[in-house]
Amino acid sequence: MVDAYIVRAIIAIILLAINASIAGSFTIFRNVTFLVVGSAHAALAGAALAILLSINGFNMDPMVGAILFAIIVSLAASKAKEKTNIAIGIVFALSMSLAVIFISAIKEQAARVWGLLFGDLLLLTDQDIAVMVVVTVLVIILSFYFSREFLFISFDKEGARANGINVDLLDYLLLSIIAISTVVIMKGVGAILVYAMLVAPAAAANETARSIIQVFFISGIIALFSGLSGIAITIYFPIAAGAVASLIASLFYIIFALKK
Amino acid sequence: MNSIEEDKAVVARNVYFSYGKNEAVKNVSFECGNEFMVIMGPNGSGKTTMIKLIMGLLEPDKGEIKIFGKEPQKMRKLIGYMPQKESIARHFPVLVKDVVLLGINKKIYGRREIERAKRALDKVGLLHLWNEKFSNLSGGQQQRVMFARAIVNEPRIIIMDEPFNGVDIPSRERIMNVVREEKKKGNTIIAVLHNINPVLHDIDKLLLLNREMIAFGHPNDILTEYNLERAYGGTVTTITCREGYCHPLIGDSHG
Ligand SMILES: Nc1ncnc2c1ncn2[C@@H]1O[C@H](COP(=O)(O)OP(=O)(O)O)[C@@H](O)[C@H]1O
Ligand SMILES: [Mg+2]
Repeated sequence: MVDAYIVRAIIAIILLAINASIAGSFTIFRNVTFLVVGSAHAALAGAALAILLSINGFNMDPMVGAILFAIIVSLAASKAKEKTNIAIGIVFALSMSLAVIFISAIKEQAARVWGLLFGDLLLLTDQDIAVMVVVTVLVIILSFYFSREFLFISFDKEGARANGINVDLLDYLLLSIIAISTVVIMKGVGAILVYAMLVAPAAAANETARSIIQVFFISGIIALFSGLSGIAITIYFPIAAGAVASLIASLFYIIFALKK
Repeated sequence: MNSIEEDKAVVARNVYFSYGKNEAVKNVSFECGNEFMVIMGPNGSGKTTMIKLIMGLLEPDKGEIKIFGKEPQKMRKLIGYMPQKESIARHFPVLVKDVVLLGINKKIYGRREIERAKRALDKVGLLHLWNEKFSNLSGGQQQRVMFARAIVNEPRIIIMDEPFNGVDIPSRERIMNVVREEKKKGNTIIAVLHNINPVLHDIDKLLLLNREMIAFGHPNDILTEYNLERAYGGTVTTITCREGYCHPLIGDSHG
């Protein structure tokens, strides 16, 4: 018999791989890897705020708060990027400060945010999985429906605009999808490792793929393989599954980049 | 309204545009019908801004622009656009066919769209690269693919921003051959160029810009040392060729 928590972990890894494939690939295409870490920090603030609100009688799933904050900061940072690097830095500093303030305000319950900080692949609840499924389905539908527009914007914004695409709006949507996927992946591997799990598989795939479709495919397989290996190893050794997964995903990038 | 003007592909009257306090285009007027028109001027002289105004991607602060007598925003479907090559991403594996197909505004591509894309690519002589990675192509081939994308919808007006920067001579000639064909078909072609000499004899109208309009007309009428000095802020030597065209010696040092 396989334990229920292992089954949940495996389902989570499949969801992570889907997000790493779709959002990771678009992060590489759109050249916005710098947004991932910042929106992850913002997600911590959002989760802590949701818990704070819940303590005070306004019920909100921490993941919903995390997603909202991740989106807001991601959009703000992309706007700031057009100004200076300092402006993005300040946006990120702001979101980290808020994270620490909110976490310190929820003292006894701060441990609930640590799940997002360090990841808790083996501690996920049924409700966590349910939220991850809903969010992932949303990511799949939106990315599929707007795939042409997202590619066009990534390839050349001016051309996309001239072709009648609402570039500003759809670019925001694309960045929002990336932020949402960032939070889903954080549930599994935490804020510290989300960059490795979201960016590394797609970056590795981008080095070796011969077409756009292949990037999505190969990155998904790398993420899935890394995640499942992480779980398999932690069954026998007492180390963090998310960390092992991120390590393997990063190694893939190094190997593919060197091979080139 | 005057009916002759309504028929003109592009009419600009006293157009002004600023980015904040930065006046990029000042009091520009021109008309362009079934012609090959070139916009020329130093870096930062408002050429790209002018093109974006024509396409309705920017709106004039003052003055007006009409495309076949109508608002540019409503006429975008009639325009094929080839952006400056610096604005194109090459860090992920888009294929040549992907690039050309992007020009077609459809969610899903059927056989008709594929045929159209292939025909456009064939016109620039690159059909054999259909399945190739865009980033594997030479600079000249990439520009030919971008040109194919610009003509894939059989537009009435083709607009190109510095199409020949870093482009080899065969690629340039390939594109120019299509430009000549398109003109014969009755269409309008507008190009921003740094070095106009290789195509000077094809140019019907030249717009000399340095934020404000320096001159507009046939190259032979406006390529005077006086105008060139006002546009480029220094003495520009010119050479008159056997056919009587006045060639300014600039542009070769750019891009
Ligand atoms: N998006 C923009 N925002 C602010 N200023 C701009 C923008 N685009 C161009 N400019 C400024 O407008 C002026 C004209 O630019 P541009 O039209 O690109 O010139 P050109 O194409 O002739 O090199 C330049 O001073 C440039 O810095
Ligand atoms: Mg320009």
